[in-house]
Amino acid sequence: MTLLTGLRDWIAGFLGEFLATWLLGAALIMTFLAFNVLFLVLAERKLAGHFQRRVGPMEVGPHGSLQSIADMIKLLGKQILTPVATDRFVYLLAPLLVFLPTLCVASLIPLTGAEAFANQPYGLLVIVALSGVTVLSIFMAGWSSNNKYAVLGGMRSVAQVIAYEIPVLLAALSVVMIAQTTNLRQIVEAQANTHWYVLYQPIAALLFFIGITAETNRAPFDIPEAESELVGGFHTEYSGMRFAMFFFAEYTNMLVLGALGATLFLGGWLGPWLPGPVWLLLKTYAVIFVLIWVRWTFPRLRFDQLMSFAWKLLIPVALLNLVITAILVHGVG
Amino acid sequence: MTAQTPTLTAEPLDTYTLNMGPQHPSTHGVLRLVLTLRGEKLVHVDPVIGYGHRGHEKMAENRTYAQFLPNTSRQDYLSGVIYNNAWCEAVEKLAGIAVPERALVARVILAEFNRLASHLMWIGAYLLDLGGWTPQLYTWDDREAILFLLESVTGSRLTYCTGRFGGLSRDLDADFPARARVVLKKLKDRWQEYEDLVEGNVIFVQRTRGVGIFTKEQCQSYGVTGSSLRAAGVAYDVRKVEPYGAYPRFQFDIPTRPESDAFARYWVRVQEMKQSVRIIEQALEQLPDGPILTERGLGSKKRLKLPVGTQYYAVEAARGAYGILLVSEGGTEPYRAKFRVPSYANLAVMQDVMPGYMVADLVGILGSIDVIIPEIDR
Amino acid sequence: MGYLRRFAIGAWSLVIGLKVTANHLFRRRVTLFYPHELPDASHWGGPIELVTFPATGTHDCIACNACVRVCPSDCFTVEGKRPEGAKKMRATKFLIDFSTCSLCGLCIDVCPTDTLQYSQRYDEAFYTRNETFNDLLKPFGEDPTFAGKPT
Repeated sequence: MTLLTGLRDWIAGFLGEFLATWLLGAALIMTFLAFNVLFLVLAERKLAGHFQRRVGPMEVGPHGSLQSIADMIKLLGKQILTPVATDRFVYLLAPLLVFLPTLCVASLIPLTGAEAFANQPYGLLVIVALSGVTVLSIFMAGWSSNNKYAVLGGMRSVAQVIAYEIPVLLAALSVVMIAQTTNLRQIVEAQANTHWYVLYQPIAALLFFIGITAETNRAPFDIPEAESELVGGFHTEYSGMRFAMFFFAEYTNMLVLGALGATLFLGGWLGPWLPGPVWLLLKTYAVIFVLIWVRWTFPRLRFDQLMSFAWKLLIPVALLNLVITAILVHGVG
Repeated sequence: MTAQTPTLTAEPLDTYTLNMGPQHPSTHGVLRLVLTLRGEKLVHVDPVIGYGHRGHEKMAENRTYAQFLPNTSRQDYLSGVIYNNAWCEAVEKLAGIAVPERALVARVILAEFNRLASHLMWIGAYLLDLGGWTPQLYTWDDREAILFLLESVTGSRLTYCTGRFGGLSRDLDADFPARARVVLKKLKDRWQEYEDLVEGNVIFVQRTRGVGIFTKEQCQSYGVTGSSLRAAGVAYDVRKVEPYGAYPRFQFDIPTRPESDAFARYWVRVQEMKQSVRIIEQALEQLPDGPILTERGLGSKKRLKLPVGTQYYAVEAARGAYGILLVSEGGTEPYRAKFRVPSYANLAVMQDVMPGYMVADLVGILGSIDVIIPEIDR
Repeated sequence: MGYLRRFAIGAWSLVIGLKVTANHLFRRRVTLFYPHELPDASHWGGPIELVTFPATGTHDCIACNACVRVCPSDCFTVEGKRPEGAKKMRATKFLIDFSTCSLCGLCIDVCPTDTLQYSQRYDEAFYTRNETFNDLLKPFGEDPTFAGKPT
């Protein structure tokens, strides 16, 4: 800690206190997320391999542990092709924009109970609002590519994310009803007094989990990027580093939404012996393990089935859950 | 209902054309589909074939009967043994060459293992089209066991050239029945897993039920054969209707299902695999001793001159009824060899079936009819 | 009620599917670490080679050109010469164009001295077109039948 404060004071000498805190905080969050994403990419490939009775990458590094770095170097070295007839500004902006909401959300999730940030009174609402902005950049990518496949992929993604945000929000609202606050830190502190909310709200936890599977465009909801249907979906025309941005944005989104799920339902940083952030990471990776497990087991849902699943099944169940929770909370007091 | 081009002049702005080109991850070969879409619904499907034409029928006119043997496996490379056997049997029938008993039964064993391998590969590829990546690895694990077994007998894994006129080129060795039974046991232990992972899975059922339905009349008018026909309720299998080789000695059923949707085709193929296992078990018990080949080098050491005549010989390949029309004018080379391939008719019926479904179902239907495009183009 | 029952069956099928993959997660791999672990190719029918007969320690090709005539893809280039004082010819040049060979085995069937066989090689890769011609006489080195005599 003293190292970081010393670094901040040194930077504050040049830029002032506010900017120093801001820059250092942003850099730390991005570094932390980047390392986690590198690890997650490798973990997904190794787990996918083991589910399929093979092993994943094994050549680069011991048991393939340096494969992500090799992938990064490869993607950095690829030729960046820009098709001629694209909407140039939007085309170039989309891969950059896809990261921003996720990074904002990452700074709002409490790691321990005692840090200076992540203590907003309406933290949960801000998070849900921001995670809706990601889809804008996906649609920008699809539209500006001047490619029928990409437009179809982008439109499908927009419809899918909008539809599945509602169960996520309703499930989070059920938790808010029990915890009586939208402040994420207080939600976790409330779980310290009672049990983890997954025991009180199993249906909401399941709905939240299904919702984040669809939000991150993962199987069985990965129609927008389904290779066998429409070649590449919204990122068909992106190559090299730009494709890498979409790729990593997807994994960062997975991480952040997984952390949100761990915070809301699995008790955030609570746990004996180990420090808070380590517990949060473990719980996040537990959620992500189930995400990976589901991805490599089930086939894809067709798009209209996906939409009717959201609108006709998940949202009514989520509303019902909300009503029952409200009655129980009011009755129990 | 016959396929006709929609009158696009009526509402030209309502539809758009999408080209699922010859290079596509899920067209199972070099098939080009020119789709006319209205939103997400298919209005017209135009399959364009010919990208894989290699001139097999022309090559048959310029090679002797023995020299054509390697070409046979390459037509439908997933049923290589069956096609190889079919050519040998067609020539043997026209020339009147006797085949020893052991070779007849061995041909059946190899052909049924080949059918198993082809269906396992199809399950993997179909699930891959639908988005489930994992079942493919499990089916390939089983298929690997079968291919290793066939490699020990024939020396090849995919494109076999083990048939000769009058039997097989290499004999089954003494421990082949034991090894074959090990492979069969491995397969039988897997049926429950495939049912749990694929057949019972609600997502798979939702993707395939009621999708790609065609009627018996459409099958008849287009000449659809194979599992697609049996999934439409017609119990037509060349092994039962026009028996050949050693098949009359074995007992097996023809699975059919009336619904004729993609799920029915999946179910029929899984049942066919179980029947193939049954045939192989009976054949292993009944495998007689004796020579595997009547005369070594028949057709190669001395060129075969077949009597003048025309012969149509049909077998049940993994995809349907495969027929060879052999016209001989008495020379060492055929005058004409026409191959009736099952995938041609199976794909042609899609022009009638696909309009009305959504684009997302296109891949589901195309995968379920199990076509091999190079076989269509020959 | 029927809807609820179908829903329950559907949801349970998903759980069973997850159980199947979880079972496979903890089982041993079925793949080989090629090239660190090599497959069993003892029965593989690989590129054609000449047999080394144990009695003579060399091949028995008499350059009769039967294989040349029977090959469907015209892969063979065979030349032979009769050594002085010998009854049969002997091959001096034997090339197979592996880029057109389909491993059909007709040449093995037709050879009168049974001097052709499948090898078990499976990892032949070439960088230039010249290398696709397999020289079948190369493993035998200098042929003692022609030693010292002009070929």
